[in-house]
Amino acid sequence: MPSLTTSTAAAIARARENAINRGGDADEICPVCKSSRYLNPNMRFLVNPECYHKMCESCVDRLFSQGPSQCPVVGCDKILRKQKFRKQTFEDIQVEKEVDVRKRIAKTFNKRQEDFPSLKEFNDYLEEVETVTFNLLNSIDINATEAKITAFEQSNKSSILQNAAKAAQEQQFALAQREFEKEQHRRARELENEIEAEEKRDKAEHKANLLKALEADNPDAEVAKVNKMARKKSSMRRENQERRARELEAARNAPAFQFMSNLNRVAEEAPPEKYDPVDGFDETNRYFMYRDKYESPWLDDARNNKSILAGGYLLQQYYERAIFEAFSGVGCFIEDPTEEAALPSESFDTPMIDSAV
Amino acid sequence: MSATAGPPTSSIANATVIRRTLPFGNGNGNNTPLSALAAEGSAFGGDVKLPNDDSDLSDNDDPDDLNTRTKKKYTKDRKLGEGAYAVVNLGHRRATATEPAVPVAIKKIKVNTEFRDGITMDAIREVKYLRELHHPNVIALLDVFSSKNQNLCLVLEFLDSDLEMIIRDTSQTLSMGDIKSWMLMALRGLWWCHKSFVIHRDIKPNNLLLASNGVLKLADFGLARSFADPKRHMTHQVITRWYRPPELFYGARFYSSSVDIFSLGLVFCELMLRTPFLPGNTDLHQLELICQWLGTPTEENWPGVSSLPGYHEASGTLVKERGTDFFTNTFLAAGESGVELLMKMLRLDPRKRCSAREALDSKWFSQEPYPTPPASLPKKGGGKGIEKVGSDLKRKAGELFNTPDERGKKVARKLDFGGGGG
Repeated sequence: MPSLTTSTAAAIARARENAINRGGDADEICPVCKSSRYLNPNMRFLVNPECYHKMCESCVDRLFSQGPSQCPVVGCDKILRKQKFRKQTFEDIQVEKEVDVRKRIAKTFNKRQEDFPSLKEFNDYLEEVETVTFNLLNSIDINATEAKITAFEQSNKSSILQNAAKAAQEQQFALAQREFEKEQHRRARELENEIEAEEKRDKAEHKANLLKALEADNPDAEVAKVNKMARKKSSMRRENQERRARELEAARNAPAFQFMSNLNRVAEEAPPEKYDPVDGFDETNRYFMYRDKYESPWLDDARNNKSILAGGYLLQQYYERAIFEAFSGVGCFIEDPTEEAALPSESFDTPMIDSAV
Repeated sequence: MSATAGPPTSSIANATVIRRTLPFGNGNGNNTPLSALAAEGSAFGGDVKLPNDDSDLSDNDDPDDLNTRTKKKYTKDRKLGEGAYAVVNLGHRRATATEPAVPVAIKKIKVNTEFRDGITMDAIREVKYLRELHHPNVIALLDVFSSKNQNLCLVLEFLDSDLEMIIRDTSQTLSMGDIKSWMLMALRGLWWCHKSFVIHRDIKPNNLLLASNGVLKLADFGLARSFADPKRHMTHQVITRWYRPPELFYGARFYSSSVDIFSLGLVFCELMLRTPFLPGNTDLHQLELICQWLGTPTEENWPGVSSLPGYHEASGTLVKERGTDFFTNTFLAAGESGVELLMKMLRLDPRKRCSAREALDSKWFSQEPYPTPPASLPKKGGGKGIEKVGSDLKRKAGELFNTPDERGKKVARKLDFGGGGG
C-alpha cells in the first residue's frame, strides 16, 4: 500500500511539473493554489475587474466567502469581493480589461455627432474620449482622469440620460425591424414554395390531359387545344405571381414606416386652442380691489422687520387674504339660499355662504 | 369657477347639512376644532361640489343617522397601505340607481396615536383644507364619516399612481411635452391652493398623484396651513428634506407660498434628470448641496438673510448664485424659456421667486413642444405593459432572443461598447 501512495504522489508531482514546464500553460494550473486541471477536470477560472488576477473557482470560494479580502497575488493590494468575480470572456486579459473600460466610458461619454455643431468638434471630443480611455487602460494619471470623468458626468447629467434613452429606443427599433424582416423573408419563402408546387401540379395535369387527348378520335386538334389551355394557364399563373410579389414588396416598405412612427412617439403637435394659464377660470374681482400698501402702525412694524421679510413673508398676501375675507359675503343672498346657491358662482369673489351656518 | 371641471355638482343645501353635522359625536372634545372649521368654511370661497346626491339627506339632520347613511354609501375592498397616522384602504362607492360604482380611497385616521386627546394635527389639516379646495388638480375629498369605534374616515378620490413611480421607471422616456404637461397641472393645483390662501408645505413627486386619465393632482395636505397673519410664527420643520427651500434651513419663522414654488422647482429638475437633484443625507448636507448647486446665500443675493435665526455663515468657497449658463448647461433639454422658468422658481431669495400665477404665465407653456394632453401622457409601466410581460414570459431566463440559432449574435453582444443599456 505505501508504495502505491508514493507512486500517486510522484505522478501528481510530475503532472504539476509538466504543467509548469509547458510554458506555464495558464489554462491548466491555478496561479494561487497551484492545483492543476489534471486533478480537477472541472476547474473554472474567474477574474475580478478590480485587478484581473486569475484564480480558480475553489480559490475564490475559499478566500472571499467570508467577505471582501485582499487579492492573494503577491504585490496586489486590491480588496476584492466575491460578487464581482466572473468568467473571463477573452483569452487575453488586456482585451478583457479594455472591453470593460470602454463599456464604462461609453456609458458616460455617449454624445453623438448631432450634438456637435461641426465635425471637427465631434472629432476633438472623440479624441478626448480616446485619451481618457488610454489613460485608464495604461494607468496614466488615474486620479486626474477620474476627476475629468466625474466632472463631465456632472455637467452633462441630463444629456447623458437623454442619449442613453435615445440609444435604448433605437435598439428597440432595430429589434422590431429585425423581427419584421425575418417575417418578410419567411413569407417570401412560402410564396416561392407555393409557386413551385403550383407549377409542378400544372405540369402533371398538362401531361395527363395530353395523354387523354392522344386517346381521343381526333388527336391533333385535341392536343392543340390542351396546349393552348396550358399556355393560358401558365400566363395567368405568372401574372398572379407577379401581383403577389408586388404586394409583398409593398408590405415590406409600408409597415416599416409604421414601426418607425410608433416607436418614436411624437407628442401631438398643434395646440388645440390658445394656451390659458388658469384653464378657463375667471380671475376678476367684482366687489373689491387690492391696494399696494395699507397704512397701519401694526403693519408698518412687520413691514420693517428684517427677519420677517428675509424669510420670504409677503405682506401683500396678507392684505389679499384680509380683504378677501372681509368681502367674501358680498354677492350672496341669504333670503333665498337654495336657488341662489345652487347656481354656480360666477367668479372668485362671490363665495357661497350658508344660510344654515 | 364655472369652467372648472370637478366631481358632480350637488345642491349646496346638502353640502351645508353635511358640513354642519360632521360626525364626531364622541364627546371627548373632538368636535370643537372641527365645528370651528365648519363654521369657518365659507371663507375660502371654494365652490362646494360634493357628490352626495341623495336628496333625502336634508330630511333628517340627526348626526348619527347621517353618519350611518354616509358610511353605508361606501364599502371597503382591501388594504392599500398603512402610514404613521392612517390606514389607507381601497374601497368603492356602492352603485346607486343612477350612478355606477366608483373606486375610492378610504383613509382611516388612527385615533390616540400621538395625541392623547383627539386626532392628529395632520388629519385636522387634511380635512380642513381639502374640504375647501375644489380644483381639477387637487385631490377631492368626497366624504367624511366616523367608523364604529369613533375612528375618522376620509373618503378620497382614488388615484392609482404618482409622479415618483413615473420618474423611477427609467424604461420609458419622458418627452419635454410630458414634463411640461405635468408641470402645468402641478402649477395650476398649486396656484389654486395659494389663491385660496393655503400653503401646501410638502410638495414632492410622491405627493403629486396621477389619475388613470393622466390628470395630475396635489395630495397629502397633512402639513398644509393657511397663510399666517403678520408676526405669527410658523414652524420651519416642514417639507421633505430634499425639497426644502434654504429659508427653512435657516430657521425662518415667517415665510410664504414661495416655499412651495421652490419644492416644485426641484420636482421640475427631477423630472428632467430622473433622479433627485439635491439628495441630502442630513439637513446640513442638504444646505451644503443647495450652496454648491444653486449658490451660497449672502447678503448680496438675499438681503437680510443673516438676520434669520438659524443663519450661520457658510465656510469654504462661496458659490455665486447660479446664472443662466449653469442652468442651460445642466438642463439643456428644457430650452431657453424652460430654463428661465426654472431659474425663477429656484431663486435663493424667497422674495425673488416667482408666484405660481407668474409661473403659469411663462412662455414655456405656450411654446413648442406643447404640453402633452393628459390622456396621452406616459402611464405607470408604460403603454405596452401587458405586451412586454407577455414577451418576457416566452423567453428563457437570461436570454435576449427567442430563437436558439443566435450564438454568433451573443458574441457580438459582449463586444457591444454602447452604453445604452444593451
